[in-house]
Amino acid sequence: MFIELHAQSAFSFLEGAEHPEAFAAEAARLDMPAIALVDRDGVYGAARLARAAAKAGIKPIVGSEITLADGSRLPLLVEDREGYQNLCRLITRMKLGAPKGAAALAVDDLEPNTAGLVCLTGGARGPLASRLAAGDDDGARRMLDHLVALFGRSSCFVEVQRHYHREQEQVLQRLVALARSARVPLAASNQPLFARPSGRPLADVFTCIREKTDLDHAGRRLLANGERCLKSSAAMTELFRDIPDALDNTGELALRLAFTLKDLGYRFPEFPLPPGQTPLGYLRELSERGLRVRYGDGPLAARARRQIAHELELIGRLDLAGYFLIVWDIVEHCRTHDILVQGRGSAANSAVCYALGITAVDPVGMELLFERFLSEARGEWPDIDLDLPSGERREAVIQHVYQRYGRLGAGMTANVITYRGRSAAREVGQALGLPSDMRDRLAKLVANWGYQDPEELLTKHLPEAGCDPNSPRIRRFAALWLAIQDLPRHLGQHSGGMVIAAGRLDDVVPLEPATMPGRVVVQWDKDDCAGLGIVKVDLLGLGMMSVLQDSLTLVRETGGSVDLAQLPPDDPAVYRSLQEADTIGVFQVESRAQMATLPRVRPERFYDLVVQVAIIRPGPIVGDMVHPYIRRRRGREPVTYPHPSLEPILRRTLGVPLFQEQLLKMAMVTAGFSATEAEELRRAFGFKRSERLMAEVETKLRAGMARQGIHGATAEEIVHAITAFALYGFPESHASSFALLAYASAYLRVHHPAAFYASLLNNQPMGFYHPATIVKDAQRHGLRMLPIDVTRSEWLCTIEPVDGARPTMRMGLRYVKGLRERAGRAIVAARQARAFGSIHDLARRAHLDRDELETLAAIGALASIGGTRRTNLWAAAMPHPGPLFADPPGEPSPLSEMTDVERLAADYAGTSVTLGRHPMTLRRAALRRRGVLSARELAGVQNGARVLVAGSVIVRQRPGTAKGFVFLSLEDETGIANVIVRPPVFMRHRLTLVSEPYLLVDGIAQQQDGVISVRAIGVKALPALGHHVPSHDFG
Amino acid sequence: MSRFACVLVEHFDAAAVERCEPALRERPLAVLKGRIDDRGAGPGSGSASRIMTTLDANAAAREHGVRPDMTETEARTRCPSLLTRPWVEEYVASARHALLEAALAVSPRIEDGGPGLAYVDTEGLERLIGDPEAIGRRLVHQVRAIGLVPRVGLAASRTAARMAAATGSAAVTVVAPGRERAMLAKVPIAALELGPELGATFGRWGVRTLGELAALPREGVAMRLGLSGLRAHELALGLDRDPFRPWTPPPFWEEAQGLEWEIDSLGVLAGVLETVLERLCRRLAAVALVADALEIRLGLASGGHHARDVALAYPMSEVKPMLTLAVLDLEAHPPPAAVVRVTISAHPIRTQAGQGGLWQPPAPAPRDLVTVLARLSALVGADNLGSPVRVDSHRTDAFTMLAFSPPAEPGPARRRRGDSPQRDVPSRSLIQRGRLALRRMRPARRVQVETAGERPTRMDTRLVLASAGPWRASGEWWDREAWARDEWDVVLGDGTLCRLARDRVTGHWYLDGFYD
Repeated sequence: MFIELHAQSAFSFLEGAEHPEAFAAEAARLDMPAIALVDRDGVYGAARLARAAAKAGIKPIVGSEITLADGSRLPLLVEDREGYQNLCRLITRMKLGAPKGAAALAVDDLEPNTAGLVCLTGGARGPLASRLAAGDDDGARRMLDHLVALFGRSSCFVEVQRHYHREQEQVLQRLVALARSARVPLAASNQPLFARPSGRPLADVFTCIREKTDLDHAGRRLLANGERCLKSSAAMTELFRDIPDALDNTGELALRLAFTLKDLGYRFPEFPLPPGQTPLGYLRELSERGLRVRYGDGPLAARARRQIAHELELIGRLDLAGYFLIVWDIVEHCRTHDILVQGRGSAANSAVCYALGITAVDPVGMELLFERFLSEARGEWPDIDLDLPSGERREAVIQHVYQRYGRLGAGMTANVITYRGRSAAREVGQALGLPSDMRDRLAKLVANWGYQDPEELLTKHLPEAGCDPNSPRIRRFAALWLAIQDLPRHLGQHSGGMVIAAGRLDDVVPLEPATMPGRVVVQWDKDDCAGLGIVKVDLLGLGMMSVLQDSLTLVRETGGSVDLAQLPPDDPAVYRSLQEADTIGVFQVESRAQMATLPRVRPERFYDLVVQVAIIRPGPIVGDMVHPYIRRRRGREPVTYPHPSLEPILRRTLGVPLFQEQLLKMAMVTAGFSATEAEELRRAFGFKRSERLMAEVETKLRAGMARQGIHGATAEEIVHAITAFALYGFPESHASSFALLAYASAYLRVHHPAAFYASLLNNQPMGFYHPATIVKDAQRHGLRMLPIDVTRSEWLCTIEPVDGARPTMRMGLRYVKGLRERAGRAIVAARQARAFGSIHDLARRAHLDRDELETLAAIGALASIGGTRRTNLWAAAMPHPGPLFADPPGEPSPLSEMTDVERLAADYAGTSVTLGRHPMTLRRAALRRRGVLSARELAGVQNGARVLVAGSVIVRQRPGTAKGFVFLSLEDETGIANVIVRPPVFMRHRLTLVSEPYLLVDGIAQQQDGVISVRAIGVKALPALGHHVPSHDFG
Repeated sequence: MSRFACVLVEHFDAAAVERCEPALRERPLAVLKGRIDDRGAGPGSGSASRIMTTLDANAAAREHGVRPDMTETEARTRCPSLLTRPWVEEYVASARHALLEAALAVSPRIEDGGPGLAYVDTEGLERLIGDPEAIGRRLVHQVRAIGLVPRVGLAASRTAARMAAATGSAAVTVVAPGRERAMLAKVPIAALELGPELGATFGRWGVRTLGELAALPREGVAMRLGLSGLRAHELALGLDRDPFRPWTPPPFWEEAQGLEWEIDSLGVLAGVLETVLERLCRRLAAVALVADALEIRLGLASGGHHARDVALAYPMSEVKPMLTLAVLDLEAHPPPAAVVRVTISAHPIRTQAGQGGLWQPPAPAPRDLVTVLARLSALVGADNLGSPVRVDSHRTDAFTMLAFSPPAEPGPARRRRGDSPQRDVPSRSLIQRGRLALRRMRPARRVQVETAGERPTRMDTRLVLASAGPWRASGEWWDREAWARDEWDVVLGDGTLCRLARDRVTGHWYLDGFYD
């Protein structure tokens, strides 16, 4: 009986060429009852092998090939949990102790961690074979003795391999002799890099990528033959007829290696409880406390109490109380450290999460489906995502988690970067030695190929790229490009997923250093962690959270007070601004498409906003849900349901399915699916869709509906709704969480504009619009904005109280292009000591360089010290006299003062924004003579009228779902005009539309539900005035 | 009195192409150059694409809005009838050279101002040619004769002359003495082509014309902008502070021959080549230089060109071997159309003085050797001539041919005792271990082999007593030459130890060789 104990998957990056799952499947096909995955310096593929092996009915053995300091590689196999922990610690020590890519261990470093591990001596790169091949027989003997001393005679095996190499056979004979003389048992392996011989080309391609060469020049670095596949017991018996004990030992050893990842020993950290409390008891206490705060004696309190009791009962049964407490603990940490936090995703379906303050959406009031978050049948840990202000505050929370659970007790989950699309095409093309222009052509083409039948690629797509499909290299390209898809390329870091463990996380999974200092990454991705029951908390950064938090701080600093949890739920001014699409800067509903829909949907209450957040998405657009919803909302179409049984589910969305939760409920009601089956359906049609699974589920869905008596067009309508929507469908809970942030941002924008706009500008870049557009929007809303002034401005934008007037916003020094933050803060510090006497005094005390001083002069930031922009520019250009000398004598400036246009250009060049007049104001008189309307005037024109509009282009979009239509937003001093360009007009004026910053559009006014747009007939460029605002193009 | 003339050829890269293809002159033309575009390359992608951008455009293309630094797609969108040509350094270099030569034909003192720009010292020319207008016309005439269209400005300083050329509406613009400042005052400051930093500073200052720049106080400018600012200020005043650097023509390495009739026979062409080469070799010999490479460029009746690079096996300045090589090369690669112009340029190098080494083997005279090699190459094909070297491959006995070069004196490192010149020669230690040598049969002999399973049992009629193997190798699966073979080491009945090989693609067996 032969068991392969040295298989290497593509997680031995750029060496192995196979998914772990393929090895499991092939082992099962060959009737091999077990297989060991021994990837280089990690157990990256172990979780995936374990899952696949369970399906295939074989035993997965865990191991890893450790790189030694002399460059050789030592395979270690795990016998028991202690061995696994030792392996993880060894790898962690190796990885954390060296720069990326240079990790290695000295043989002596193994010593404290050899218990429970079995050592093989490796293949050609093993410490024995490499010494023997170099003629160092004595060194090989010494190494073997050393290994025997470290691992014990019964846990050390001399590995022998036969790949039909003449030179290898000579080494093998000496290995056998060495083993016999040292009385160390032999173990045969084939060290497969691929499951079947057909995998060899991809392994050769990986060699080329690794060696940065191509197949024509790789020479003997390529494999000599295709024998590095997984071989059957019969084939290996034939090969090792002369040393049968080497085969028998593998079977015996495999029996000994009993450890599997089921026995991982992972424990979730225990929450420090008050004396005498159980986790569930404490959670119940906290929930009840939260319940009283959240619901009081209100009308929902009784329902909420019942829901919480139901949830706690399930949480108790699943023993998840500790998990909720730990998430609550993180949230509490944020609260006490004044870091805004909000749970999102399916956690918003939970009343317990709401009561604990983890989420902010009331799931009882919103009638959200708890089972979407947690169900007994799923057998998975719940997924709680926490949104945090991006940047330093999020990092502070991450570091808090490290601190709380220990540097080796927490880690970020990995993100396995795989070979995909264009980059895969380029790398395969390069390995095949294809010319660079052909690689470029192929890379451009493959982006649209998706997963296809290789024959179709060859017959249809490759000739399109001008490639000869009969050329062997091109045929190989097609096959290899398909084969390389989704194979791991390297390990990245998940954006916010953290795993934590009781005790040491490096007993559970090896840790690696992340590129960011102070962070470590585990070797598994979030699916692997979830599959093994390792709990993950997502700590995600959200720019809008920063804006909200900063706004609250500014409001507080100026004597106001806003509590996000206590915002009035139906503020009319907020809904008015939403209905008028006055939403620049508002979370989630500021895009051009959202603005074009808002006046049609006319949100009047919070749930309308939830719908609004979810509706402008590819799912509802592709599923043709948007227009029916709007028609029904406007009363132009009766509200109907595909089937009477769906009315309770779809009533709130007027009979149109919009949310994932509805999809699950629809499948449950119409096809009799259980909650678990419905969840399976969602997954089958989700991002990782597989044709086979989708077909199976669809059949089941139809059958279920047939049983319920739903046939024909009704059934088709329901199937279409479910299948089209499953891919992009937005969870209602997620939309609710986002809608809450949207409402909060709209509220602050309406009622505390100075704080909101200042925070928005302080957190750029974020959102949809350039700061220049945000500034003009703020000014149109009556916010007084003061320019950058070295005697008043802070580094960030601030609010300046003005007596008897509304607060005023002062632009911060961060908007001065080229001004170092250190210099900006030095200006603030220097003026606090004493006022600046001259610009040279400023330069001297704030250590400004000449460019910085000149930019400050050009944008008028030195005006308070004295002089005009040009006189200051003239003075600023004088070389700095140094600290020991007096300022250079003042002399009259020979420069002429800036014109309006020059000031505008200087503002844009020096700060990217202008607080002065909008560029369109400067040409308004001329435009008016030509009959050009402003954006505000456009609102009053009749539907169908011929109009001329002009403005600075701030948005250009050509959505994939819009059949070639292009949408433009033109900004002028009065607002924003929307322009629709049909494909023929676009083709006629393509260059002008794509490249000109200012446009004059001749077109027909179209009015739909209060939304005015101009259908372009002709387009002309307007000459630019100095600088222009960059637009949001095709994003 | 005007002292300087400036000859300016605008859009010089495009003009250089038009000079080679005059038919393009009236049509919109853009000269393209590749640029690495890494905008779409994300982290990890490790890739950047090469995109073509316009380097220059002629006046007709500029009328359609084509400008330098546009992508080819954008340029074509602006001007659908746009013709494009790649940027060729030689075109620009030869046009620049020609422009200077043309100017040199008018005055012995000229200065190279960069591509498309030549300054001419006109002092004393009035007695030879006439008034400044006449000198300008002469310059225009000379430059037009070499296929370029110039504008000429004449003024008291080079800057003023250049600005007059750049801004004047006629082909020749003469700035009357004392009118320089007035003329310069209206010229945009961009015409000075100052560096981006200085340009930005003047932009911030609101200084848009040379007049405005000239009006600034000299000391103030000098204090603030240093030497570069001062120079710009002086230029704006029309003052040349830079010394006049007369241009002297470099040694002439190119010879060309225009033909009055079309040549379609290699024999006739050889006569022309010989004439051109003689001129070239005379010049080389006169300055004691030799050429190590020739570039033959044949202008064709079809309007195109046929260019051949002929590598010389050793540096020479002799006509005969050069001619032999050129003719043999053209025999192998004949021009696709009749020839109307012959240009040969030589890459000159200095010869190493000295003689052959004492231990160097006697060799034929270089000229004979080169001729023989060229003839052999024409006979057996260039790929089959040279020295075999082993190829890094799993394929046994794989080799390639390296081009023959005369044996060189072994370097000092090679002459040390005990050094092994060949990497693949087995080391002494291996031989000492009793490794066998394989006496390889070339080509391997096809044999009939009987097998039991895969294992050979009989070769032709001879019994196989023992065998070891198979040793399996395969490769080049990505190409048409995919191969796969098994090797066996066998002992035949008579004790002969040999290597058999089975081609796994065809199933044929071969006797690869015998072990000694």
